[in-house]
Amino acid sequence: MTKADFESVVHEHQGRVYGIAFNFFHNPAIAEEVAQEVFLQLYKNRNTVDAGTHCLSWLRRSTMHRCIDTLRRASFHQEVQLDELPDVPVDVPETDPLLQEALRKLIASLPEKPRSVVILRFGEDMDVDEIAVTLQMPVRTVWSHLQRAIALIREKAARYLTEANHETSRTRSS
Amino acid sequence: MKQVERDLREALKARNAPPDLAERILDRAHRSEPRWVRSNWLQVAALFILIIGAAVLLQQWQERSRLAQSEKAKEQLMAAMRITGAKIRDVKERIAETRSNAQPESQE
Repeated sequence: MTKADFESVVHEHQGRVYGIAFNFFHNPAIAEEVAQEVFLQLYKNRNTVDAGTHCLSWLRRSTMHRCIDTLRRASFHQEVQLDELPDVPVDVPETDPLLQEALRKLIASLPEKPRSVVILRFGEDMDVDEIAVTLQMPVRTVWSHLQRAIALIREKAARYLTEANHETSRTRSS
Repeated sequence: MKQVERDLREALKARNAPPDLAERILDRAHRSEPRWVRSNWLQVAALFILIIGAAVLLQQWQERSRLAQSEKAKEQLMAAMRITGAKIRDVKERIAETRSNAQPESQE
């Protein structure tokens, strides 16, 4: 990959790399730092990475690994408490921004492996086999992480919506 | 597709990178290069001239060394020839002397 190829790869994929890191940490500053580190690593390895589809899978894999490393180094994995999430109205529309924000926070609070799997599955629209290759784990493990993560998100979201409903009815009755 | 999956896709949909991210990445990548790689064309040209100059000097030194060696070989050859010539002259003189001594004895 030449320097010109590298520049076009940066312009083409910066949003994707930043998006994966943002979904992982739910923090713009850390997402940007991770994105910069990933592209810097690509620059150092540009002689061994092609500019085509291989580059995209390389970027996805490196971004996930960098996210996990950063998380382990800083160990700022945090459990999101339900009262930290935004208030949601009772009748939730199809694409409610508050619910999306709450979901993003819930995803960012998942353990690292299920979080990576959910981000690649629903954020990058990758199938389970691709995720297994990217994260270097067996397909069955990917399935297991995915099912566990969805169950966890569903449970937390349900509790969150129930509490929001109770809060709204209490406000109305008073 | 289940509702939860639709919600997850929506929550994780693509987002735009900060406006100057690409510039910051490219700047950082450029700064990560070793200093000598970042040198401008003038420095590269100076280095090229230096290498060419060194090559010319080396060639001249080799040429001078070869000339000195051939000069030395020539002197050695001349010295050898002088010694050989002196020896030959000496031998000739002895032969002539022996002949001149031998002729009067045969006449007698």
